[in-house]
Amino acid sequence: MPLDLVPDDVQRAIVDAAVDLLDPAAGAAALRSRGDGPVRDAGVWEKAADQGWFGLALPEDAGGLGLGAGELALLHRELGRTLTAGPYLGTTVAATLFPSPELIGGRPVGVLIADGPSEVGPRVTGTFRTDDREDAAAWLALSPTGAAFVETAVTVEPTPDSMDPGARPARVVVDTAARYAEGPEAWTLATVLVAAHLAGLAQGSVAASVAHTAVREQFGRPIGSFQMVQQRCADMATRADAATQLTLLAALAREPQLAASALLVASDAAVTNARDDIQNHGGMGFTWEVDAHLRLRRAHGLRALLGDAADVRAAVLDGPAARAW
Amino acid sequence: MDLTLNASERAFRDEVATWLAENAPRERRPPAGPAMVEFDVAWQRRQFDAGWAGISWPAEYGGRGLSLVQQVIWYSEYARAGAPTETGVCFVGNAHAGPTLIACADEELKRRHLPRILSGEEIWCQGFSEPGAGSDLAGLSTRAVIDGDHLVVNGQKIWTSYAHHAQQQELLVRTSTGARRQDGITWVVCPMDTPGIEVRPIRTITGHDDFCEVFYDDVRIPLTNVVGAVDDGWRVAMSTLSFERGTGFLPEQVELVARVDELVDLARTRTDRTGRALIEDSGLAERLATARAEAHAVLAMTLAVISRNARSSLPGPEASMVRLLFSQLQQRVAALAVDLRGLEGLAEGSPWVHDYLYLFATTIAAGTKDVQRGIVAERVLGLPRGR
Ligand SMILES: Cc1cc2nc3c(=O)[nH]c(=O)nc-3n(C[C@H](O)[C@H](O)[C@H](O)COP(=O)(O)OP(=O)(O)OC[C@H]3O[C@@H](n4cnc5c(N)ncnc54)[C@H](O)[C@@H]3O)c2cc1C
Repeated sequence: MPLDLVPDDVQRAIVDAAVDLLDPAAGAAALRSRGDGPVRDAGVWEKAADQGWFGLALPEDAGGLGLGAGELALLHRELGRTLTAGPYLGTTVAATLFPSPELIGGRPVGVLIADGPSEVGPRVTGTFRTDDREDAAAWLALSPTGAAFVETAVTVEPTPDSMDPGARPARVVVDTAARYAEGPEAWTLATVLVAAHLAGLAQGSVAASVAHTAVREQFGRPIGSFQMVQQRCADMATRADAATQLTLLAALAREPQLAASALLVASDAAVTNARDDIQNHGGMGFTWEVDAHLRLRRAHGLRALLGDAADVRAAVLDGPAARAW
Repeated sequence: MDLTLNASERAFRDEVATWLAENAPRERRPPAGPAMVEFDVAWQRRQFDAGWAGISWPAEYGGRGLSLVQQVIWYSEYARAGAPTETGVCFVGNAHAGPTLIACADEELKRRHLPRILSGEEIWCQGFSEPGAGSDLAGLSTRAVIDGDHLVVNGQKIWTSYAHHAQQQELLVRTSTGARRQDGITWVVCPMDTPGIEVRPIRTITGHDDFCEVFYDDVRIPLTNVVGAVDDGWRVAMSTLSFERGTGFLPEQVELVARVDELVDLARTRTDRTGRALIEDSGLAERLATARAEAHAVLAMTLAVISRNARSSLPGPEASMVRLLFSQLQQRVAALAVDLRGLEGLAEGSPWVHDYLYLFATTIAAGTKDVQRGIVAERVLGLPRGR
């Protein structure tokens, strides 16, 4: 059916496969232990590549699965829901823009975002930042006007750890010729996928709050029957739904302003829901044990990944309102 | 998940857009009085004459029987053409009473009223709320007793929109007290010219008389006017409310996007005392960007609700989340419209002051925002029941 925002059977099957592959307990445990080295779980990464995740949106004759950005968004939402970290964003966008068997097969690609004087074009020069320093075997330099595939950096210099345990930040200096794709497509896709991840985090917080407040009893009743708690959960659910539906709409429309809007709404949903989830858990919410802070940390990190609030605002306010249909 | 329109849907969109461009009223809707009623009825009539009234109603009752996709297209183009999206005097007939009659009434009542609703000959009002029964609608106590082949009604309704302009009322009365408070309620068609009815307009915060108190003193209504069965009115009424909490807000939602656009333009051209464009103020820019992004989100959420409804006959409770975000967003946008204009924004009688005040209704009428949150918590999330 046209003008339809609900996943069909094929699309649902993709989500189910992701749910089978991604283990929220393992994802959370990895983040909680904050080890050194690559962020990605190598076993999961390999299976994800085998299942065709990176080439999902490529035509079948290019080695992909012949699906689209909508399906990618569903998948990246599951990454968020399961707190799965790794260079999924850079690898997916790179494989989609610069298809090759290597990338489709899961050669990990880190994301580079301008940080100081820099140029993204057929020649990439200047200083960039990344969260993927331990995982990247190659780089994707992203800008709102184009994307370039960079084989090697001049230097990769670690910067202080982020509150986001899924990030391994670094300053990266680049000076090289690169394969370049001009146009907003890569940035729009990356924006949608970050929004999808954030929407997944927002949904994860709702699920955690519902599970906890339905069984935790005080005053002889489950706390989820108290109106204050119910209303907080209802607002959380509404934020998560707004983030999810707008992200899917933006993915299907592949339009920069809708993508930026999705990022704005999903960022707020992920951060605010994580905060509310901590509150709903009481003293438990303040502990390292409970996942609530992991979602909060990731939400802050991902919200800042592609730019600061002023950049997102400007992209949302650019031009007249976009139409999805 | 798919946004593309096929060739026939695109042709339909063009047909709709062309008709609306040529026929949608250009002048602003008068905010009150006979001029307002005349405006609403004339617009209803124009749509009726061209076959665009009752687009979702089945063809056998004079409607157009459009598919859900076509309805989305119609409502979207309707708003984009600048056609009136205010809740006009024909709203209850088109969106509540008519669909309820279609779902639950006998043929006689359908044949009598449905064509007149569509043509604008009959204005309807909704007599549900009472001084003691607002959010708690099942607590209503306006009584009706059966006397021969009539119901005899005594009691009072309140907040009845446009009761002073209406010819018919969808009226909820208590006919018995059952095991549950929802039992023993009856849904009846009440002609507003029946002896014993007194209508007293109430002045609202906008300064206009939009709704009324309605008093019933031995009002005799034929039993043949009962829809569904006597004592079965709760079920009948719920078929109406599920629409109210559903997709009927699409024109206003699409219009809200355009309204934010106007404010973005205004913020680009208006300057502060130092000559700086208002949009350079990061606080205002943030409010505007959030408003535009959330307006997009409301449309996406509504499309998701419609997509789900296309797959199942019963509307799900997710519509309450849309309502929750949309109603509060409308209020934030109206506040922005006032704030962006500085002192000029405070002008009594201006459209933006009117909207700002009028839109306080959106989180009260049709289920307050607190009630909507309760629905989300218990019916969407399945949290344990309160109370
Ligand atoms: C502009 C406008 C037009 C209207 N038109 C019509 C009409 O045409 N026909 C008609 O029948 N009615 C109409 N109404 C009435 C409307 O349906 C009621 O106002 C609404 O249902 C709220 O009821 P109430 O006014 O009695 O407020 P109350 O129910 O007394 O609510 C007052 C406050 O208490 C809160 N509250 C109440 N119960 C709960 C609860 N269980 N949990 C948490 N908070 C709660 C509410 O959220 C609200 O903030 C209209 C109202 C407005 C504003």
